[in-house]
Amino acid sequence: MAAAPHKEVAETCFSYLQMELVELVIGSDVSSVSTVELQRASRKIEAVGFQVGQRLAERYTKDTPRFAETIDVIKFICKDFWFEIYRKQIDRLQTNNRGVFMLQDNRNRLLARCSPSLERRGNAKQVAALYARFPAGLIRGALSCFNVTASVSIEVGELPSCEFTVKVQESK
Amino acid sequence: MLVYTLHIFNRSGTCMYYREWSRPVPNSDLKSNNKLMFGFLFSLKQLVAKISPRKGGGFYACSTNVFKLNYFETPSGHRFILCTDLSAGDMREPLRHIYSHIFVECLVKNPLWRPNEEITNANFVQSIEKYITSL
Amino acid sequence: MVLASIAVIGKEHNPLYIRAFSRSQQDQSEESLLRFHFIVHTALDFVEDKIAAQRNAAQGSSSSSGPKLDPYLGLLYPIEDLRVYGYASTSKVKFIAVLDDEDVKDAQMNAFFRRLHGLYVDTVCNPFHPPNTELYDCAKFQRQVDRLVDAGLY
Repeated sequence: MAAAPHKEVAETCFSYLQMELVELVIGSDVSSVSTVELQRASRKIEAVGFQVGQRLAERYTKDTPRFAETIDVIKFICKDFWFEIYRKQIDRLQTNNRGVFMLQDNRNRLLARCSPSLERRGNAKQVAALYARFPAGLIRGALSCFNVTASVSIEVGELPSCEFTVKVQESK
Repeated sequence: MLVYTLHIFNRSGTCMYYREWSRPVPNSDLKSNNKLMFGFLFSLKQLVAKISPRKGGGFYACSTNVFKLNYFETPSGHRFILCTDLSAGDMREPLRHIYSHIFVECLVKNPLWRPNEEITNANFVQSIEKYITSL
Repeated sequence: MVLASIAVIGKEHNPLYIRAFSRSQQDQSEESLLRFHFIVHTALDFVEDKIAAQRNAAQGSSSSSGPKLDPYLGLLYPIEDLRVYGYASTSKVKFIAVLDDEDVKDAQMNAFFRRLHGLYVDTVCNPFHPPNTELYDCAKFQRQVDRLVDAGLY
């Protein structure tokens, strides 16, 4: 039973695809978009990330043992999951031990390249936040694959770092 | 080696970026000078293609007795022109580096960049500055 | 050793795929399929028990919980002339295999379940397959399961 050959995709393909996803959802001009449309676009992009995250989590945990606690699931996402997708781990994980986790990525690959031109500096952070929506959806999808219902919100601080706040809903 | 100016043109002839480091003779009319430069390069490219004794190749530099104009064109139509003093050697590698490591990394891979627009991104400007001063 | 049936059960204990295999024609009736439905549903209780036992054992010991929460659950219970084996993946999807009453090595069953899990993951990663829905529509999955069962254990 020979193992399937390891397939690789250039990272730039993935980056360009993510960039185009946001363009597709927003429409033509990113700078002249209203708040309502931004929210609608955020939800769509996050939904795409959700579907992808579910399937990726299923695939990446194929050969790993089961997780005992929610914290183990979060640790898996911070380490192995993020590494498989972005070739780096989440830089900082904080928790208040009551179901709220904060994942900080200090150098998100896509946001690291976001550098606004002078005219568009105003809403650059809002637009950059859209690009962080896809990873947020990935996290939510991966969590749902392990039956953990959560909401993920993002906060883009100084580019290129961004923070994902995961609020786990206790369901028993 | 002294670097005088850098121009970046896109396929349709718009000057997307212009920067000068040292320019003893000040620039009189930037816009028309840019148009002149683009027209000159366009005709020179055609001329070289017609009269070249051997097949293939394009021009990559031309000099006067006070300065040297180094030229690099990408398949996508972006033209990089670096004006240096005469002591500069073959500037093809630095120009290629400017394209592949600075232009592509800071602009093409930047989700917030719109092609064919004037380049004012801080990241790009800083990287160019750093690279040119290191030459 | 003959594989009588395999089943894939989703996270909410919803059956995603139950299939009976047999050599003789008479066993391919509705009745025998229902029988396997019943066997698989009973097996789910045993699966939950085993998972809880594993978790307690992991918490009781001081070392990390890695290798103890093995997805392979081993023999769940014997019924009539059949033996039921289980496998629970990380994503709470359960695989049940019903074999006739012959001794089978754990390593063999583990390998079989891993292959089946791989086929399931490949099917789920299909973007046109809605998550947590039945697998009967996926022709490729059916074909590969057939191939796995034919080639696998005997």
